[in-house]
Amino acid sequence: MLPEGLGRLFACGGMSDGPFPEQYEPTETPLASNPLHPKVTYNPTARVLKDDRARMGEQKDFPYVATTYSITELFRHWTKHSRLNAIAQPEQFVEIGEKLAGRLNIAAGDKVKVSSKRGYIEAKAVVTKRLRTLNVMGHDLDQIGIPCHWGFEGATRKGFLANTLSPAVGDANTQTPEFKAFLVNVEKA
Amino acid sequence: MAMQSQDIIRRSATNGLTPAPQARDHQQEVAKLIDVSICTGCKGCQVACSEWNDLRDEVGHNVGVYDNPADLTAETWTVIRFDEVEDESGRLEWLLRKEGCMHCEEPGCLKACPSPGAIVQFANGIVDFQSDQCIGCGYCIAGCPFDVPRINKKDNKAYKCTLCADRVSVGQEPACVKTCPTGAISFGSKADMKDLAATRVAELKSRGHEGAGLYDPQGVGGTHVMYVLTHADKPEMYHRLPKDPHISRLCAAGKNG
Repeated sequence: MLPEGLGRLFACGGMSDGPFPEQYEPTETPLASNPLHPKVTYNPTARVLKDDRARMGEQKDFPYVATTYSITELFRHWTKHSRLNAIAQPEQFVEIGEKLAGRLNIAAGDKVKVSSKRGYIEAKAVVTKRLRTLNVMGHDLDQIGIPCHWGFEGATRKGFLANTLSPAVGDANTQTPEFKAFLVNVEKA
Repeated sequence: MAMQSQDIIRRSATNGLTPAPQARDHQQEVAKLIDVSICTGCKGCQVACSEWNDLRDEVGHNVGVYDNPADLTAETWTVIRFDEVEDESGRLEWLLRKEGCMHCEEPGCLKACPSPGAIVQFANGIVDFQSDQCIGCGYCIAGCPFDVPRINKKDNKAYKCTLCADRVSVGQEPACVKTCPTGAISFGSKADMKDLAATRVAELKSRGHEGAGLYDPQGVGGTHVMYVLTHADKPEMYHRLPKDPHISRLCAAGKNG
């Protein structure tokens, strides 16, 4: 949306990519290539440093897609220092779909280890019906959810930094980090 | 703390020879109405409750669900219950219910209580524990058809939601109602809340929720905390909310007759 209240079909300059909106896969993708144009899988203008590029995992080692997000009880890493917020959501957890949890023999409340090419976290498992196994290009694909509020000291129980897992990729224009889609492995801790 | 500004219509373990204060006119029956279809599960009500009542529970553990604290305690008087329910067609619903004292018109806790004046019911319908009279026997827990009261190990006394009797007696709504960001909790006279519920139920039905209805169970004489449920025909779906709660006959036959 632009100041005059309308959007535009073309990017009018000042953008690293464009002029048309484009579909790219995340830098760490479970797919072999971009279904729309196999030669360019992820955004070539995204900001990735050389050493960070070397720390990208592959699906054979890290078969699940992870997404980090916030939950209503906590705000960033601020409110975990407040007792009442800590009471409402005291301990780090990850959300795992019922099917995947069944396959990995993980029950609700079990401690699990989630690892990516860049490190690992340990957290309690919330097993949910809300995350369902997806079918992407003929293959089953499981996604797990990683709330991002723990780590360091606080009024909550100690936890791990979710961003240990995520890749250091900045959006081509905004430098917004690519924390919404990357590859991990999950196992019972 | 007894509310001196309130008439008391029932008092535990007390006979009619020593009646409680009953001098005031214009006492209106109040009710809290919780519309589960509007609740987003933000737990703002839990935090507001602890703020107003100066409660600070332990920082607990995650036990594999969103519910935290994991259960009601003597220092947590309300919790949001999260239930994932699939219907016959496989459609998933995330059902949320704010759990806490229902403030029954016929309170099982009060009937079961053997300590004179430890549980009272005000003329406005609020059922309140008078902690200084509590002997910590736990009979109120056995008497409650909703499994709400909890004993505090620190002082061996029972605690539960007061419906913010202190706020209500000076014309304010309970803290949870004041803070709810989506307007899922309303407070007013019981008659007004039933009217509001009827409007909401009609709207939910018009949007395809055929089982929508008001939860005001008559087995306990109705309650002063009511729910608008999208599945009022199956209240058990909402974290085992009893379909037809009754006071145990053993409790009703006790000291309070």
